[in-house]
Amino acid sequence: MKPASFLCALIAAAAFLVFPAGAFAHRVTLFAWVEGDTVHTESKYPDGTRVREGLIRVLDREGRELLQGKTNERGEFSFPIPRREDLRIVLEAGMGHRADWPLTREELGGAGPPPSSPAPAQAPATAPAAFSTAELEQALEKALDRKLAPVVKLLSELHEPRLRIADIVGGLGWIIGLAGLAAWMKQRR
Amino acid sequence: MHLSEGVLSGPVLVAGAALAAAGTAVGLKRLDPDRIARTAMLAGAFFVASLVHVPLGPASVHLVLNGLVGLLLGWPAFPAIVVGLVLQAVFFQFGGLTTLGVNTLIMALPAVIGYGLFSRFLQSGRAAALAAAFACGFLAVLLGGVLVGLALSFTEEHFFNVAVAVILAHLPVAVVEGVVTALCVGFLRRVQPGLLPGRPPAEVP
Repeated sequence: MKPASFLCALIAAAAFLVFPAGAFAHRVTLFAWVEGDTVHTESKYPDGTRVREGLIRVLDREGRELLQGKTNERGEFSFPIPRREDLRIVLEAGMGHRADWPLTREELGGAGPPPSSPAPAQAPATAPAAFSTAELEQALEKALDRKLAPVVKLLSELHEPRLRIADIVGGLGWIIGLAGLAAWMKQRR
Repeated sequence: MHLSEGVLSGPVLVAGAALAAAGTAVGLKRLDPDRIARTAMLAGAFFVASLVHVPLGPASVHLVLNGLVGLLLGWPAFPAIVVGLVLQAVFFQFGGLTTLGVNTLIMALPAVIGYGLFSRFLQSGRAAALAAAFACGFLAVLLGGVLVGLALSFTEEHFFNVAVAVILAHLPVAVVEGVVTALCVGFLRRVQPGLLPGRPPAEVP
């Protein structure tokens, strides 16, 4: 069975080339999170390579473009929140590579009261030692953002699908099964 | 080379699916029962090849092997590539099920064209066969790039810029593909010449 051994050699070569790097290509992932008034995005190829010069477009619910920008060397792009409503962030890494990430109104803090405007007016009225509700909220949010940053990072890494050997073996099994089916059908004719 | 979902407009998807279905029908019709195993083998090679990762510049590209599949199969390259693409979409999230037709066309049509142009040289001298194999692998990817540009041009405005960018981006991959295809054909010529087209099937052991 020389053809079969040829195929085996090919698969072995493929496995050898691929797995040490843990890498596979041709799909981009986009991850976005909110920190205060800024939205941060991170764009990667599945092997962890950062998408450089990728186009990030921010769309509103009707699909109108609010702003756009390019990712930097490390695949990051940050922008101030343009509007506190449901947004969609789209990454176009060229040649049909595309990913998107929805940001809901709640994530952007659109559900709560406008955070900063009442605070300065209220502050002098209260006792100097006490914080106003708005200030407290702001301080809490800041602290939470800072504390949660590593968690968010970790989530962004978990978000990427990894290549699994089971998938490859499963796919090859499907091909063998289909070949058997085709042979059986041709024979019946 | 796999176009993702949500990039192309509806009519392009439908047209691609229709043409791919026609090609697959022709391929299945011409599929000699004796060659089913070979077709499946190449479908498997195609399925796995997309995992072979070649870092080139800022982007990461992978082998396509559509030139090799076409060269060894002819029209049955269509069903082989459809099966490979379905499995890649399901298991690896390459491309997608709605873009399946377009992606099939992008990879299988150049494969069949490569077969028509180059398969006749594979039984001639070693140098000619290797050159033909290189050309087939090279051209299959490059033509695929042209088709990608064409498909994108119906969605994006600057057709010329897009097409040029896509073709330039595919050039290095095309060279790699050409070399891999030539290596495979050189290997098969030594080990299993009956697998190469241009010989009567009776000689296949």
